[in-house]
Amino acid sequence: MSESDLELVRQAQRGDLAAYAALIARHQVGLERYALHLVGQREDAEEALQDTLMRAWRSIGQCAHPERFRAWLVRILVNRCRTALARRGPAARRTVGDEALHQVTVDHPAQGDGWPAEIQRALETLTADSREAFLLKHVEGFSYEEMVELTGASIPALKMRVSRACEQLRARLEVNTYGT
Amino acid sequence: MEPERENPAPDSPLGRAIAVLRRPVVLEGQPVERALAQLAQAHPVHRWQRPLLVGLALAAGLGLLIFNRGIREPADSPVGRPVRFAFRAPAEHVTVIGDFNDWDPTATPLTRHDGEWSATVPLKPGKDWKLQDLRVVVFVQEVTSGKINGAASAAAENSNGRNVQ
Repeated sequence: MSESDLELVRQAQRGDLAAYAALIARHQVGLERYALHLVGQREDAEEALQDTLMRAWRSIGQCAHPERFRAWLVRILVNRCRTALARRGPAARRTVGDEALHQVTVDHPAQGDGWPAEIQRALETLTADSREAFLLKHVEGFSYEEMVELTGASIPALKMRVSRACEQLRARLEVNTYGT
Repeated sequence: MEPERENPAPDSPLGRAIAVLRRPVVLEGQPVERALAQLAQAHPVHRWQRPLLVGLALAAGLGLLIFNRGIREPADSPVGRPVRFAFRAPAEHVTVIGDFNDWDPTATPLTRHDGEWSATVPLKPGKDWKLQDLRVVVFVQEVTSGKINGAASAAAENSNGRNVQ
């Protein structure tokens, strides 16, 4: 990660809230995006993210590798999102809600109005574990080694989840794109 | 390192779906702003400064980073003193606004030198910050992707080089 992250983390660990705010601002887009796409419902995603930021500030002194602050922060978010899904019960853990892709700022320019909704329906077909692995890998861009730290799962298990997620999404989206 | 067999082609339906999923989302409840505001309220005063973050808002094409800081009025400067704002981040335009310039975003643009944006503003206690509060707004636009990620750090220091962040 960047040296500026490192310096800001050190400042935040000394109690500098402005430095922490700058750190959060730097990673805000990814945090919001992951929470919303994983949890699916806006209010639950917002609660998970807010809780993450409060917990992260309280425990930032325990961030042993400031150069990997983003992964440390996302690990907390992953756990809070899991908790949010668990509170909503088994059905919610399996599927995302109706709101996630309605919050995407801009529709894909090459697609009609139905494209984000179709992606949402495709995500709904994934288990929470698969959706989590898929989003971390392909949307947030983490390596499998980093994902092990974030999720506690093994690399083979993560690769299997991502592969299955891609397979299911591909089948769903290609059917609806090409009508085959 | 094993090859990433799962990486979808960018022009495939799945590749295009991933591109859509990577776009920023809008959380109307502003959880980041709420969390930082709560932390700011609970943050203990230490020495002569008390940073209060009152809001952090992102808009399409423009990011707003708002710091509301309490700064102890300098006892030895009845007419105020120069305060330097410095900001280091990828940006196309950075400006500082507050009571001191009537919240005019064109009044106090920061200039860039060696990757750092900075401006020195004469601030008068009792006029430019009231009840020990100074509000600073920084506009940030990321150059590389055109999106806003709010990447920012802000600092201010007085004429003696004393950091007041």
